[in-house]
Amino acid sequence: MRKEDNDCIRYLMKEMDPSEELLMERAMMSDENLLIEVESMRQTYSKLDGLPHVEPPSHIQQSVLKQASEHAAKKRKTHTPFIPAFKYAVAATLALTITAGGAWFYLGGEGEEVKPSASAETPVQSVSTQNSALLFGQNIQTASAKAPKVEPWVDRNDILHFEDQFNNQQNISAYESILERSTQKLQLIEQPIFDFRPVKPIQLTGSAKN
Amino acid sequence: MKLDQSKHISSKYKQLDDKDLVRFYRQNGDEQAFSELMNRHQTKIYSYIYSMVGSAGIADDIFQETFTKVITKMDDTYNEQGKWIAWVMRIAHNATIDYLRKQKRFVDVSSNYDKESNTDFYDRLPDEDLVSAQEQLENDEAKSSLMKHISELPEEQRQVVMLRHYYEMPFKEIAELTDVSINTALGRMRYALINLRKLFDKEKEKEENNYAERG
Repeated sequence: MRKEDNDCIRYLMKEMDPSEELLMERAMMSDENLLIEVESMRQTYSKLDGLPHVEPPSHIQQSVLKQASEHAAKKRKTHTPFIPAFKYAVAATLALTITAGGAWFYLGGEGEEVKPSASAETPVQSVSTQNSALLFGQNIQTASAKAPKVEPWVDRNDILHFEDQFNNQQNISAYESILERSTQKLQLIEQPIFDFRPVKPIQLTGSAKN
Repeated sequence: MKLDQSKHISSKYKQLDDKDLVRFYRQNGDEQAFSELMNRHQTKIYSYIYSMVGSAGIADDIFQETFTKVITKMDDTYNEQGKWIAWVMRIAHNATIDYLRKQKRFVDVSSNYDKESNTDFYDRLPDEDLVSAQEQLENDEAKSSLMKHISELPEEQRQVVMLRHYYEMPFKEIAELTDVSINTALGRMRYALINLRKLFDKEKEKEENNYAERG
Protein backbone atom coordinates (compact mmCIF):
# COMPACT_ATOMS: atom_id res chain seq x y z
CA MET A 1 0.00 0.00 0.00
CA ARG A 2 1.28 3.41 -0.92
CA LYS A 3 1.81 5.98 1.80
CA GLU A 4 -0.46 8.38 -0.07
CA ASP A 5 -3.35 5.92 0.28
CA ASN A 6 -3.27 6.43 4.03
CA ASP A 7 -3.30 10.20 3.80
CA CYS A 8 -7.10 10.20 3.54
CA ILE A 9 -7.30 8.40 6.88
CA ARG A 10 -4.67 10.60 8.49
CA TYR A 11 -6.58 13.64 7.28
CA LEU A 12 -9.93 12.32 8.50
CA MET A 13 -8.55 11.30 11.89
CA LYS A 14 -6.77 14.62 12.28
CA GLU A 15 -3.37 13.02 12.50
CA MET A 16 -1.71 15.41 10.09
CA ASP A 17 0.44 18.43 10.77
CA PRO A 18 -1.19 21.76 9.84
CA SER A 19 1.15 22.05 6.86
CA GLU A 20 0.25 18.53 5.70
CA GLU A 21 -3.43 19.32 6.13
CA LEU A 22 -3.07 22.36 3.94
CA LEU A 23 -1.36 20.33 1.24
CA MET A 24 -4.07 17.67 1.48
CA GLU A 25 -6.82 20.26 1.12
CA ARG A 26 -5.09 21.72 -1.92
CA ALA A 27 -4.80 18.23 -3.39
CA MET A 28 -8.51 17.62 -2.81
CA MET A 29 -9.37 20.88 -4.53
CA SER A 30 -7.45 19.85 -7.60
CA ASP A 31 -8.38 16.14 -7.58
CA GLU A 32 -12.11 15.45 -7.56
CA ASN A 33 -11.70 11.70 -7.02
CA LEU A 34 -9.63 12.29 -3.91
CA LEU A 35 -12.30 14.66 -2.59
CA ILE A 36 -15.03 12.07 -3.23
CA GLU A 37 -13.00 9.35 -1.51
CA VAL A 38 -12.35 11.48 1.59
CA GLU A 39 -16.00 12.57 1.86
CA SER A 40 -17.21 9.02 1.39
CA MET A 41 -14.92 7.81 4.17
CA ARG A 42 -16.00 10.66 6.41
CA GLN A 43 -19.63 9.63 5.93
CA THR A 44 -18.90 6.00 6.74
CA TYR A 45 -16.77 6.93 9.75
CA SER A 46 -19.52 9.16 11.14
CA LYS A 47 -21.81 6.11 11.26
CA LEU A 48 -19.51 4.63 13.90
CA ASP A 49 -20.86 7.23 16.34
CA GLY A 50 -23.81 4.87 16.63
CA LEU A 51 -21.67 2.24 18.31
CA PRO A 52 -23.08 1.54 21.76
CA HIS A 53 -21.39 2.25 25.07
CA VAL A 54 -22.13 -0.61 27.42
CA GLU A 55 -21.37 -0.67 31.12
CA PRO A 56 -20.32 -3.79 32.93
CA PRO A 57 -22.96 -5.36 35.20
CA SER A 58 -22.98 -3.97 38.74
CA HIS A 59 -22.00 -7.28 40.33
CA ILE A 60 -18.87 -7.36 38.19
CA GLN A 61 -18.06 -3.79 39.19
CA GLN A 62 -18.50 -4.61 42.85
CA SER A 63 -16.42 -7.74 42.49
CA VAL A 64 -13.55 -5.79 40.93
CA LEU A 65 -13.72 -3.13 43.63
CA LYS A 66 -13.74 -5.76 46.34
CA GLN A 67 -10.68 -7.35 44.79
CA ALA A 68 -8.93 -3.98 44.65
CA SER A 69 -9.85 -3.34 48.26
CA GLU A 70 -8.55 -6.73 49.41
CA HIS A 71 -5.33 -6.25 47.50
CA ALA A 72 -4.85 -2.81 49.07
CA ALA A 73 -5.48 -4.23 52.56
CA LYS A 74 -3.00 -7.05 51.94
CA LYS A 75 -0.43 -4.56 50.77
CA ARG A 76 -0.95 -2.41 53.84
CA LYS A 77 -0.36 -5.45 56.05
CA THR A 78 2.88 -6.40 54.37
CA HIS A 79 4.13 -2.82 54.44
CA THR A 80 3.76 -2.15 58.19
CA PRO A 81 4.98 1.30 59.10
CA PHE A 82 8.41 1.54 60.73
CA ILE A 83 7.99 1.98 64.48
CA PRO A 84 10.24 4.81 65.78
CA ALA A 85 11.62 2.59 68.58
CA PHE A 86 12.91 0.22 65.90
CA LYS A 87 14.68 3.10 64.24
CA TYR A 88 16.70 3.80 67.40
CA ALA A 89 17.44 0.12 67.90
CA VAL A 90 18.67 -0.21 64.34
CA ALA A 91 20.75 2.99 64.68
CA ALA A 92 22.31 1.76 67.94
CA THR A 93 23.10 -1.64 66.44
CA LEU A 94 24.67 -0.02 63.42
CA ALA A 95 26.77 2.33 65.58
CA LEU A 96 27.93 -0.58 67.74
CA THR A 97 28.80 -2.65 64.70
CA ILE A 98 30.77 0.16 63.13
CA THR A 99 32.66 0.87 66.38
CA ALA A 100 33.48 -2.80 66.93
CA GLY A 101 34.54 -3.17 63.32
CA GLY A 102 36.74 -0.11 63.53
CA ALA A 103 38.39 -1.29 66.74
CA TRP A 104 39.04 -4.72 65.30
CA PHE A 105 40.53 -3.22 62.19
CA TYR A 106 42.74 -0.85 64.20
CA LEU A 107 44.04 -3.57 66.52
CA GLY A 108 44.62 -6.00 63.72
CA GLY A 109 46.59 -3.36 61.79
CA GLU A 110 48.80 -2.50 64.79
CA GLY A 111 49.67 -6.14 65.40
CA GLU A 112 50.71 -6.61 61.81
CA GLU A 113 53.00 -3.60 61.86
CA VAL A 114 55.47 -5.30 64.23
CA LYS A 115 55.82 -8.44 62.14
CA PRO A 116 58.33 -7.30 59.50
CA SER A 117 61.88 -8.53 60.18
CA ALA A 118 64.66 -6.27 61.37
CA SER A 119 66.39 -6.39 58.03
CA ALA A 120 63.35 -4.92 56.32
CA GLU A 121 63.09 -1.96 58.66
CA THR A 122 64.60 1.38 57.92
CA PRO A 123 67.27 2.52 60.38
CA VAL A 124 64.98 5.12 61.86
CA GLN A 125 62.27 2.56 62.45
CA SER A 126 64.76 0.16 64.00
CA VAL A 127 66.05 2.68 66.43
CA SER A 128 62.62 3.84 67.40
CA THR A 129 61.47 0.30 68.00
CA GLN A 130 64.49 -0.50 70.06
CA ASN A 131 64.25 2.68 72.05
CA SER A 132 60.68 1.80 72.78
CA ALA A 133 61.87 -1.60 73.84
CA LEU A 134 64.27 -0.04 76.28
CA LEU A 135 61.54 2.13 77.69
CA PHE A 136 59.28 -0.85 78.24
CA GLY A 137 61.93 -3.40 78.91
CA GLN A 138 59.89 -5.33 81.39
CA ASN A 139 57.12 -6.00 78.90
CA ILE A 140 59.55 -6.88 76.21
CA GLN A 141 61.13 -9.55 78.34
CA THR A 142 57.82 -11.28 78.58
CA ALA A 143 57.30 -11.05 74.87
CA SER A 144 60.87 -12.01 74.02
CA ALA A 145 60.70 -15.17 76.08
CA LYS A 146 58.67 -16.62 73.27
CA ALA A 147 61.01 -15.34 70.53
CA PRO A 148 63.27 -18.20 69.48
CA LYS A 149 65.94 -16.28 67.61
CA VAL A 150 67.40 -12.86 68.35
CA GLU A 151 69.78 -11.00 66.13
CA PRO A 152 71.88 -8.06 67.32
CA TRP A 153 71.17 -4.68 65.93
CA VAL A 154 74.01 -3.11 64.02
CA ASP A 155 74.21 0.58 63.34
CA ARG A 156 75.27 0.18 59.72
CA ASN A 157 74.50 3.77 58.87
CA ASP A 158 76.45 5.28 61.74
CA ILE A 159 73.48 6.76 63.36
CA LEU A 160 75.08 6.56 66.69
CA HIS A 161 78.23 8.61 66.40
CA PHE A 162 80.27 9.50 69.45
CA GLU A 163 83.50 10.46 67.80
CA ASP A 164 84.10 13.45 70.03
CA GLN A 165 83.95 11.42 73.20
CA PHE A 166 86.34 8.70 72.12
CA ASN A 167 89.41 10.23 70.61
CA ASN A 168 92.19 7.83 71.38
CA GLN A 169 92.52 4.18 70.44
CA GLN A 170 91.85 2.90 73.96
CA ASN A 171 88.66 4.85 74.27
CA ILE A 172 87.55 3.68 70.87
CA SER A 173 87.99 0.06 71.86
CA ALA A 174 86.10 0.78 75.11
CA TYR A 175 83.32 2.42 73.12
CA GLU A 176 83.08 -0.53 70.78
CA SER A 177 82.92 -2.97 73.65
CA ILE A 178 80.15 -0.89 75.27
CA LEU A 179 78.30 -0.72 71.99
CA GLU A 180 78.62 -4.43 71.42
CA ARG A 181 77.40 -5.23 74.88
CA SER A 182 74.54 -2.85 74.59
CA THR A 183 73.39 -4.19 71.26
CA GLN A 184 73.44 -7.71 72.58
CA LYS A 185 70.59 -6.77 74.79
CA LEU A 186 68.46 -5.67 71.87
CA GLN A 187 65.83 -8.15 70.84
CA LEU A 188 63.30 -8.37 68.05
CA ILE A 189 59.76 -7.67 69.10
CA GLU A 190 57.35 -10.36 68.00
CA GLN A 191 54.30 -9.64 70.15
CA PRO A 192 54.65 -6.29 71.84
CA ILE A 193 52.25 -5.66 74.67
CA PHE A 194 52.66 -1.93 74.73
CA ASP A 195 51.25 -1.39 71.25
CA PHE A 196 47.83 -0.49 72.64
CA ARG A 197 49.07 2.96 73.41
CA PRO A 198 50.21 5.26 70.64
CA VAL A 199 53.99 5.32 70.36
CA LYS A 200 55.72 8.09 68.52
CA PRO A 201 58.95 6.99 66.91
CA ILE A 202 62.07 8.61 68.35
CA GLN A 203 64.23 9.75 65.53
CA LEU A 204 67.92 9.79 66.17
CA THR A 205 69.98 12.06 64.03
CA GLY A 206 73.65 12.47 63.58
CA SER A 207 76.21 13.70 61.14
CA ALA A 208 77.87 11.26 58.80
CA LYS A 209 81.37 10.09 59.69
CA ASN A 210 84.04 11.91 57.70
CA MET B 1 -24.94 2.80 35.81
CA LYS B 2 -21.95 4.14 37.62
CA LEU B 3 -20.48 2.47 40.65
CA ASP B 4 -22.44 2.71 43.87
CA GLN B 5 -19.27 3.78 45.60
CA SER B 6 -19.04 6.79 43.32
CA LYS B 7 -21.53 8.51 45.62
CA HIS B 8 -18.92 8.34 48.34
CA ILE B 9 -15.99 9.35 46.21
CA SER B 10 -14.73 12.68 47.34
CA SER B 11 -14.95 15.43 44.75
CA LYS B 12 -11.22 15.99 45.00
CA TYR B 13 -10.64 12.64 43.30
CA LYS B 14 -12.71 13.71 40.32
CA GLN B 15 -10.32 16.58 39.70
CA LEU B 16 -7.23 14.43 39.79
CA ASP B 17 -5.43 13.01 36.77
CA ASP B 18 -5.28 9.28 36.20
CA LYS B 19 -1.60 9.43 37.05
CA ASP B 20 -2.29 10.84 40.52
CA LEU B 21 -5.12 8.40 41.18
CA VAL B 22 -2.89 5.50 40.25
CA ARG B 23 -0.17 6.81 42.54
CA PHE B 24 -2.63 7.13 45.44
CA TYR B 25 -3.78 3.56 44.98
CA ARG B 26 -0.31 2.14 44.57
CA GLN B 27 1.26 3.98 47.48
CA ASN B 28 -1.54 4.19 50.01
CA GLY B 29 -3.97 1.54 48.82
CA ASP B 30 -6.51 4.32 48.35
CA GLU B 31 -9.70 2.53 47.30
CA GLN B 32 -11.54 5.70 46.35
CA ALA B 33 -8.79 6.52 43.87
CA PHE B 34 -9.27 3.12 42.27
CA SER B 35 -13.06 3.55 42.21
CA GLU B 36 -12.65 6.84 40.40
CA LEU B 37 -10.37 5.21 37.85
CA MET B 38 -12.98 2.50 37.31
CA ASN B 39 -15.74 5.07 36.90
CA ARG B 40 -13.79 6.90 34.27
CA HIS B 41 -12.81 3.99 32.08
CA GLN B 42 -14.92 0.93 32.73
CA THR B 43 -17.53 1.69 30.07
CA LYS B 44 -14.98 2.08 27.31
CA ILE B 45 -13.11 -1.03 28.34
CA TYR B 46 -16.24 -3.12 28.67
CA SER B 47 -17.73 -1.80 25.42
CA TYR B 48 -14.54 -2.66 23.56
CA ILE B 49 -14.45 -6.19 24.95
CA TYR B 50 -18.18 -6.66 24.39
CA SER B 51 -18.07 -5.42 20.83
CA MET B 52 -15.19 -7.75 20.07
CA VAL B 53 -16.58 -10.94 21.60
CA GLY B 54 -20.30 -10.25 21.32
CA SER B 55 -21.37 -12.08 24.43
CA ALA B 56 -22.21 -10.58 27.82
CA GLY B 57 -21.05 -13.60 29.79
CA ILE B 58 -17.71 -13.79 28.01
CA ALA B 59 -17.26 -10.02 28.16
CA ASP B 60 -17.88 -10.19 31.93
CA ASP B 61 -15.20 -12.85 32.31
CA ILE B 62 -12.66 -10.99 30.20
CA PHE B 63 -13.42 -7.72 31.98
CA GLN B 64 -12.91 -9.38 35.36
CA GLU B 65 -9.75 -11.11 34.18
CA THR B 66 -8.44 -7.80 32.88
CA PHE B 67 -8.95 -6.04 36.19
CA THR B 68 -7.54 -8.93 38.19
CA LYS B 69 -4.34 -8.50 36.19
CA VAL B 70 -4.51 -4.72 36.56
CA ILE B 71 -4.80 -4.96 40.35
CA THR B 72 -2.14 -7.60 40.87
CA LYS B 73 0.37 -6.37 38.31
CA MET B 74 0.04 -2.64 38.78
CA ASP B 75 2.88 -2.57 41.30
CA ASP B 76 5.31 -4.53 39.18
CA THR B 77 4.48 -4.01 35.54
CA TYR B 78 2.93 -0.57 35.17
CA ASN B 79 5.36 2.21 34.46
CA GLU B 80 3.95 5.50 35.73
CA GLN B 81 5.44 7.40 32.85
CA GLY B 82 2.99 5.80 30.44
CA LYS B 83 -0.76 6.36 30.31
CA TRP B 84 -2.56 4.08 32.73
CA ILE B 85 -5.52 3.57 30.42
CA ALA B 86 -3.25 2.58 27.53
CA TRP B 87 -1.66 -0.03 29.80
CA VAL B 88 -5.08 -1.33 30.93
CA MET B 89 -6.27 -1.33 27.36
CA ARG B 90 -3.31 -3.44 26.31
CA ILE B 91 -4.26 -6.02 28.95
CA ALA B 92 -7.92 -5.96 27.87
CA HIS B 93 -6.94 -6.20 24.22
CA ASN B 94 -4.58 -9.12 24.80
CA ALA B 95 -7.18 -10.98 26.86
CA THR B 96 -9.79 -10.42 24.16
CA ILE B 97 -7.48 -11.53 21.36
CA ASP B 98 -6.46 -14.59 23.37
CA TYR B 99 -10.11 -15.51 23.69
CA LEU B 100 -10.82 -14.94 20.00
CA ARG B 101 -7.82 -16.97 18.96
CA LYS B 102 -8.94 -19.80 21.17
CA GLN B 103 -12.36 -19.68 19.62
CA LYS B 104 -10.96 -19.42 16.10
CA ARG B 105 -14.06 -17.79 14.90
CA PHE B 106 -15.66 -14.41 14.64
CA VAL B 107 -18.78 -13.71 16.59
CA ASP B 108 -21.80 -12.17 15.00
CA VAL B 109 -22.68 -9.62 17.66
CA SER B 110 -25.86 -8.48 15.98
CA SER B 111 -27.51 -11.83 16.35
CA ASN B 112 -25.97 -12.80 19.61
CA TYR B 113 -28.58 -14.12 21.88
CA ASP B 114 -26.78 -14.64 25.13
CA LYS B 115 -27.83 -18.00 26.51
CA GLU B 116 -26.38 -17.28 29.93
CA SER B 117 -28.35 -14.14 30.64
CA ASN B 118 -31.22 -14.64 28.18
CA THR B 119 -30.50 -11.24 26.71
CA ASP B 120 -28.97 -9.93 23.55
CA PHE B 121 -26.56 -7.06 22.97
CA TYR B 122 -29.18 -4.31 23.00
CA ASP B 123 -30.87 -5.43 26.19
CA ARG B 124 -27.73 -4.25 27.92
CA LEU B 125 -27.89 -0.73 26.57
CA PRO B 126 -29.05 2.06 28.90
CA ASP B 127 -32.68 3.13 28.67
CA GLU B 128 -33.36 6.22 26.68
CA ASP B 129 -36.60 7.45 28.18
CA LEU B 130 -36.82 10.53 26.06
CA VAL B 131 -36.80 8.64 22.80
CA SER B 132 -40.11 7.44 21.54
CA ALA B 133 -40.72 3.75 21.01
CA GLN B 134 -40.61 4.14 17.23
CA GLU B 135 -37.38 6.13 17.36
CA GLN B 136 -35.97 3.60 19.78
CA LEU B 137 -36.83 0.81 17.38
CA GLU B 138 -35.24 2.67 14.49
CA ASN B 139 -32.14 3.43 16.55
CA ASP B 140 -31.88 -0.17 17.59
CA GLU B 141 -32.22 -1.29 14.01
CA ALA B 142 -29.52 1.13 12.91
CA LYS B 143 -27.23 0.01 15.72
CA SER B 144 -28.01 -3.59 15.01
CA SER B 145 -27.16 -3.07 11.38
CA LEU B 146 -23.95 -1.26 12.27
CA MET B 147 -22.85 -3.97 14.69
CA LYS B 148 -23.71 -6.64 12.15
CA HIS B 149 -21.52 -4.98 9.54
CA ILE B 150 -18.69 -4.43 12.00
CA SER B 151 -18.82 -8.07 13.02
CA GLU B 152 -18.34 -8.96 9.36
CA LEU B 153 -15.02 -7.13 9.21
CA PRO B 154 -11.80 -9.11 9.55
CA GLU B 155 -10.60 -9.20 13.14
CA GLU B 156 -7.55 -6.96 12.50
CA GLN B 157 -9.71 -4.25 10.92
CA ARG B 158 -12.33 -4.52 13.64
CA GLN B 159 -9.66 -4.08 16.34
CA VAL B 160 -8.42 -0.84 14.79
CA VAL B 161 -11.96 0.54 14.38
CA MET B 162 -12.88 -0.28 17.98
CA LEU B 163 -9.65 1.01 19.51
CA ARG B 164 -10.02 4.23 17.59
CA HIS B 165 -13.69 4.61 18.38
CA TYR B 166 -13.73 3.76 22.07
CA TYR B 167 -10.35 5.18 23.05
CA GLU B 168 -9.68 7.76 20.38
CA MET B 169 -6.29 6.13 20.41
CA PRO B 170 -3.65 7.69 18.15
CA PHE B 171 -2.57 5.39 15.35
CA LYS B 172 0.90 5.27 16.80
CA GLU B 173 -0.50 3.66 19.95
CA ILE B 174 -2.82 1.38 17.97
CA ALA B 175 0.19 0.25 15.95
CA GLU B 176 2.16 -0.48 19.13
CA LEU B 177 -0.75 -2.31 20.72
CA THR B 178 -1.38 -4.50 17.72
CA ASP B 179 2.33 -4.97 16.91
CA VAL B 180 2.20 -3.53 13.41
CA SER B 181 3.60 -0.43 11.72
CA ILE B 182 1.63 2.84 11.69
CA ASN B 183 1.09 2.49 7.96
CA THR B 184 -0.39 -0.97 8.44
CA ALA B 185 -2.72 0.33 11.17
CA LEU B 186 -3.79 3.22 8.93
CA GLY B 187 -4.27 0.83 6.05
CA ARG B 188 -6.45 -1.45 8.16
CA MET B 189 -8.62 1.52 9.12
CA ARG B 190 -8.90 2.52 5.49
CA TYR B 191 -9.91 -0.95 4.38
CA ALA B 192 -12.34 -1.21 7.29
CA LEU B 193 -14.09 1.96 6.14
CA ILE B 194 -14.10 0.82 2.52
CA ASN B 195 -15.57 -2.56 3.53
CA LEU B 196 -18.16 -0.92 5.77
CA ARG B 197 -19.20 1.39 2.95
CA LYS B 198 -19.68 -1.60 0.66
CA LEU B 199 -21.74 -3.39 3.31
CA PHE B 200 -23.93 -0.33 3.89
CA ASP B 201 -24.39 0.09 0.14
CA LYS B 202 -25.35 -3.56 -0.24
CA GLU B 203 -27.84 -3.25 2.60
CA LYS B 204 -29.33 -0.13 1.11
CA GLU B 205 -29.66 -1.80 -2.26
CA LYS B 206 -31.38 -4.77 -0.65
CA GLU B 207 -33.83 -2.52 1.18
CA GLU B 208 -34.63 -0.68 -2.03
CA ASN B 209 -35.26 -3.96 -3.81
CA ASN B 210 -37.55 -5.11 -1.01
CA TYR B 211 -39.41 -1.81 -1.14
CA ALA B 212 -39.79 -2.08 -4.91
CA GLU B 213 -41.08 -5.65 -4.64
CA ARG B 214 -43.70 -4.58 -2.07
CA GLY B 215 -44.64 -1.52 -4.12
